[in-house]
Amino acid sequence: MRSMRLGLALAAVGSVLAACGGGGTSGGATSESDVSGTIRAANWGGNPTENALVKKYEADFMTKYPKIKVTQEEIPTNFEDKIKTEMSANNEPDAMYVSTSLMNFAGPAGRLLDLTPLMSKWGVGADEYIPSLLTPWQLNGKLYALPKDFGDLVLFYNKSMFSSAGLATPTSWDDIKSDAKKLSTGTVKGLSLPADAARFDAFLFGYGGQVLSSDKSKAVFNDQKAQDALTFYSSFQLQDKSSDLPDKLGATWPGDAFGKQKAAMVIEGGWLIPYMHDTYPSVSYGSIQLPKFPVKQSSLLFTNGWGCSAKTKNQDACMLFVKYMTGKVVQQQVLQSGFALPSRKDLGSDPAITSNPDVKNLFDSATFATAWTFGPHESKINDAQNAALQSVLLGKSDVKTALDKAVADANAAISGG
Amino acid sequence: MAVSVAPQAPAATAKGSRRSKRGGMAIAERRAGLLFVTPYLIYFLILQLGALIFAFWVSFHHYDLLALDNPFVGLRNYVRLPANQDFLIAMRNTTEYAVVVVILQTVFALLLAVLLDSKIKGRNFFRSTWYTPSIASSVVISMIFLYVYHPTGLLNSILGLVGIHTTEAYLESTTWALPAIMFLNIWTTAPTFMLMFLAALQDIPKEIYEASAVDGASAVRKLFSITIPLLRPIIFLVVSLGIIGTFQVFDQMFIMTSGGPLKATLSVALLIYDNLFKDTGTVGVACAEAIVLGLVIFALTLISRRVIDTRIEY
Repeated sequence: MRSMRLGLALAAVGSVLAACGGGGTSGGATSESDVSGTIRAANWGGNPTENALVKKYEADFMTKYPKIKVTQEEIPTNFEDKIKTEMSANNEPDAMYVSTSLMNFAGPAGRLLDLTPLMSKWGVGADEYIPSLLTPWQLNGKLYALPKDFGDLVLFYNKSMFSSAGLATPTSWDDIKSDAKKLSTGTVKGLSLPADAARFDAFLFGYGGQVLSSDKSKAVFNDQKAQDALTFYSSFQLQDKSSDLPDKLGATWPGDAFGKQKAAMVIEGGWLIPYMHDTYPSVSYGSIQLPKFPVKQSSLLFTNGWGCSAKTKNQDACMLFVKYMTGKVVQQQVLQSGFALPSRKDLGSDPAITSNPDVKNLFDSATFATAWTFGPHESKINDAQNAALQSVLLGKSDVKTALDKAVADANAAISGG
Repeated sequence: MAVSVAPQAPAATAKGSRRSKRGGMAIAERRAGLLFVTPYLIYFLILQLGALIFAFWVSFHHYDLLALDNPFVGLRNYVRLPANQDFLIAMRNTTEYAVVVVILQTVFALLLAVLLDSKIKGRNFFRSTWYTPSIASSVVISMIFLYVYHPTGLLNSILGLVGIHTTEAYLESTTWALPAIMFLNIWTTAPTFMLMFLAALQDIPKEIYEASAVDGASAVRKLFSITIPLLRPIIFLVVSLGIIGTFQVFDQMFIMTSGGPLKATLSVALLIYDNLFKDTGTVGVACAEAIVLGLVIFALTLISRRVIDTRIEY
C-alpha cells in the first residue's frame, strides 16, 4: 500500500516535472541500470510464433535490465476492444502494442503517454526510424508510440506464367494492363484485385486523391481523382475481364489465388513471402514496386508500434522497454524471423534485406508509401469505402454513385460521433 | 409472531401447535430460500440489473469508453435512430432472420419430436445423433460452416457430386449470406426444441389418443386436433425462446461475415458491438439500440403469449 502511494506521488511529481519541460520523469533514475519496477506489457498474441518471439524478446530484456520485471499479457484476438475496455476501467497494461487503430481511439483521448521527453532522457532519436512510419503516432506535436515493424504493398507476379506467355517483367501500369489481358484464359486471370480499401487506396493516393480532407473533418474520396482511380481499378475486372475477386477464383484472399496460380499477379505485402514458402513452395514468383500512377508512385503502409499508457506509474521502465522492443537487437531478429520489416533505417543495409530482391522492394517502398490510417472513425470510413468497392466490382453501381454514397455514409459517421 | 407463541403455550391445542410449527417452518424455509438464491441474486443485481440500469443511463449521453467527459444529450440517441441507415438495415435483417428461423425451427423441431415419439426402430440412436449439433457451441459450428460454405468447401463438393458444378462463395454473396446463416442456426437449434417437444409429448394422456382412435380419427387429424392444441404452452415456450434467441443473433455473423457483404448480414446485436468498440463516441448510440432491441423482444414475447398460450380446454 505504502509503495503504491509512493508510486502515485512520484508519478505526480514526474508529470509536474514533465509539464515544466524539465525532462525528468518518475523515479528520478538517471542511469538505465537504476531503473526498477514491474511493468505489464500487452501484445497481440493471435499468432503463436509471433507470440513466442515476443516472449523471448521480453526475457532478453529482463536479462539486460535485471531490476525491471515484465509481465507478458497476450491478447489473442480483438486486441483493441480489450485494451479499450481495460482503459475505461483504468486497468490497462503499462506497455502495449499500439496499432494504428488503437492510436486512433486512445491518442486523441489522451490515454497514451507522450514519449518525446522520455526519448530525449533515454537517448532515443526519432531519426532512427523510417520517417513515414512515425506519422501514425504523431498528434499535436506529440509522439505516442514507436514503430516496431511494418508491412507495405508491392506487385507480385508469377514468373513461370509470365515466361510461358513470353512476357517480360512489367515496369509500368500499361505493361500490367496488357500483360493481365494476355494472361487471362478461362478460369485463370492476370490479376486479382479485391474489394478492399487496403489495396484500392494505393491507387487512390497514386491518382492524387485523398480519403479525408487535410484537416480530417470530412471524407473526400468521391472527387474526380478518386473516380478516375476507381474507374482504373475496376477496369481490369469490368472492361478487360483480366481480374476477378478472389472468391470468384475459388480463393479466400488474393494471396491464395496467387498460390493456386489462378491469378498471375497480386498486390500484397511481405506476409505473402512466408505464406508462399509454407503453402505453395513450388510456385516461382518475383516482385516489383508498384509503378508510378498518373500523379505519383504510391503504396500503403501498415504498421504497429509499442507505446505506454498515460497512467503508467513506471514511465522510465516502460520507455526503456519500448526502446528495447523497437531497438536494433530485436528488430534484427524480427527481420530474420521473416515476420515483418524493420522500422529502423540502420537495418536497411542488413544482408537479409539486400540479398532478397522481394524484401528489398518492400523495404524501399516505404519511402513513398502512405500510412493507412484515418482517425477515430476509421472503421466506418473503411466500411463505406469497401461497400463502394463491392458495389462497383459486383456490378451493382457505377463509380460516381457508389463513391458519392460512400462519402455520405462516411461523413455521417464522422459527424455522428 | 407465531414462532414466539409456541414456547409460551406448551399446552396449546393441536391446531395451535400445528400453526406455530408451520409458521416456524415458513420462516426457516424462507431463510433457506433466500440463502439459496443469494449467489444468483448478487450476480443478477450487479451484472444484469446493474448493467441494464447503467446502459439505460448511458443511452442518454454522448458516451465514449475513453473520453473523460461524456455530456448528457437527452433523447438524441433515440430520436436519431429512425434516420440511422445502419440501424434500419440491421433491424430489417434481424426481423427477416427471426421470422424465417423461428417458423422453420419450430415446425422442424415439432416434426422431429413427433417422429421420434412414434415407435420407430433405433429411436435412441436418432434421439442422440439428431441432438448432436446442439451440443457444440455456436462459435464452433460457425467455424465448421465457414468450411462448408467455402467456394471449394463441402457444400459445393456435394453439389458437384450431383452434377451441379459451382464455386459460389455463399458468404460473399448478398443473396446467399443471410439464408446460409439462417440454415445453420435452424440446424443447430431445432434439436434443442425437439427435446422440449418430446418431453411435452410424454405428458399428453394416451387415453385421448385411444378415444380418438375409437372415433376413427386419422393420424393427421390426431396431430392437428390433439397433439398441437395440447402442446400450446410448449409451443409458446419454443416460439418465445426462438424470438429472444434470433433477435439477439450475434456469434454467427461476428465470426462468419462481420455483417458483410454490403451489410447483408448486419444484425442489431452486431451493430451494437460495432458501435461499442469500432467507432468513437457511439457507446450511447449502442446503448439506445440495445434498449430498443430489448423492448422489441419484450413486446414480441407478450404478443406471442397472447396469440399462442391460451388456456388449454379439453
